[in-house]
Amino acid sequence: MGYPFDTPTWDAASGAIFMGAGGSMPGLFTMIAIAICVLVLVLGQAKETSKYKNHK
Amino acid sequence: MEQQLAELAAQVAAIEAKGNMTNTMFAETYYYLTIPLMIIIHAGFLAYEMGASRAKNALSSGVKNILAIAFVIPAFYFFGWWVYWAFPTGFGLTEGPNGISGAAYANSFAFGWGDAAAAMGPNLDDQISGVFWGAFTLFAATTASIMSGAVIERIQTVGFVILAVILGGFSWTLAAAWGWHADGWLVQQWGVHDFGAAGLVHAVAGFFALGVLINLGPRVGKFNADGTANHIPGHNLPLTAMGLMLIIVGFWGFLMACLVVGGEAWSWGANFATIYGTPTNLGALSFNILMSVAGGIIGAWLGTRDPFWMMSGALAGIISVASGLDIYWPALAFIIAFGAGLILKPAATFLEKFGIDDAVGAVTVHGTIGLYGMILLGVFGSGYPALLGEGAPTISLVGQIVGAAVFLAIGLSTGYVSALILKLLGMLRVPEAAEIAGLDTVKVPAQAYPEGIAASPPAAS
Repeated sequence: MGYPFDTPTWDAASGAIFMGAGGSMPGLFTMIAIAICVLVLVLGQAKETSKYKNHK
Repeated sequence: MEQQLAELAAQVAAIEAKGNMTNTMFAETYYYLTIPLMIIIHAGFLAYEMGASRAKNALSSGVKNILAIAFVIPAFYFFGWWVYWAFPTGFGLTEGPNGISGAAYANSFAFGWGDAAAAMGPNLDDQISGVFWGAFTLFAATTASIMSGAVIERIQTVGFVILAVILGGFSWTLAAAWGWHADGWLVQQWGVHDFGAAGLVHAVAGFFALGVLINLGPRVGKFNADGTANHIPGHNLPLTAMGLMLIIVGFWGFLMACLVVGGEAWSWGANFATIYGTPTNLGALSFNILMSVAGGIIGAWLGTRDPFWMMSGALAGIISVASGLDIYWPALAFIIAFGAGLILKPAATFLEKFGIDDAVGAVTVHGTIGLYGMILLGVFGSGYPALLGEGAPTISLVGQIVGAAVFLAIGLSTGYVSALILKLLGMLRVPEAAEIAGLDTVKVPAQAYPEGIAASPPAAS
């Protein structure tokens, strides 16, 4: 993670400049973000179902 | 002399570099500005749907609409963008004639992991991917919002979000890959022309909504025992009408984003072009969008005198000519849009005869009129080259009908099947008691009108 170039100067920067560029961390964070979306939907559905139980 | 020539060459090179940079920054800024303009579409849909809901469901409809945007954006980042670039030639995921499609091509830049990640985040060497992706993401979010209005007041929130993700991340994207992408098989083989996405956005979303509505069923009280329909008025028609006007404002950004800016990645030369590479410019859009807005309103006014349908007519007017905004004669665009405005309400009433409760007329405005527009372009625009170069396929009535049929099938089938699965899982419709009580009371921890909507007495003079 952190600055993706060997030398800590913008003079050397080109191409992808996001944190972790060129490594495995961007992919890992993408997977975590996907998991968050899925988990929120699962939790949301559970909450929604509980709300409907009082109105059946 | 040689030294002067060398200096002159250096100056020309410097000017050329500055020109290129200016062009790049213009393209980047152009697409970037379409994004907030398209966000206005969602502001409009939010107001439109909340106003079209009864007061007891106003906030619930709003929550649903807000979540549609929130989930479609990451869905399009995670897989929608890849679908657009991978599928143009069909389910084989092979490379098309322009060399900008297929699984291998999509894998190289349209995924948020591996080497492709370089094009999916801040990159000093790539000023276009992010803004291009952003514009497409808002197209995707628009499809979800189109479906959203049709299903208000009785759909479960999470079930709706899942449908929005399927529509925004896959269904319309597949249609765009086939009928918008220059390698798309509908374009290459049938000369399909849908410049402003009347079919691949509006018709797909409209018929996706129909597939959902068939499974979802009508709101309690919509139909009588003899099958006749009751009108269920929303609680705030002025809010709905203003929402529709905002949607129309936002569609200027949407259609602006359908142009490809010259000289940059995925462009077709130095000038503006359609996404197919055929020549056009913003002037074409200005003529035809304005004339179609006017035609749609006038047609709907003649047929209904109702401000809801008049504003829907404006939207229908744009959709009716969207496929050929680049080539229509403005007066013809007006006439086609007038026809769209005129048939709008009868088409919606016809749908009700089949027991379909489309709360805002989305199936008609977007689905029916989207197909109407695609087919009429085949009637009037036959013979125009659908792509650049010699031997390009041409626009034809048969091609436009094939394209319209494919878009209808994609929308209806994916909407129907996904809604059916959710229905079987018990995730589609709210319980009847909850619907009668009002969804705000059941699941929204806020009140739309805590003080009521009572009129204040006038101040003493």
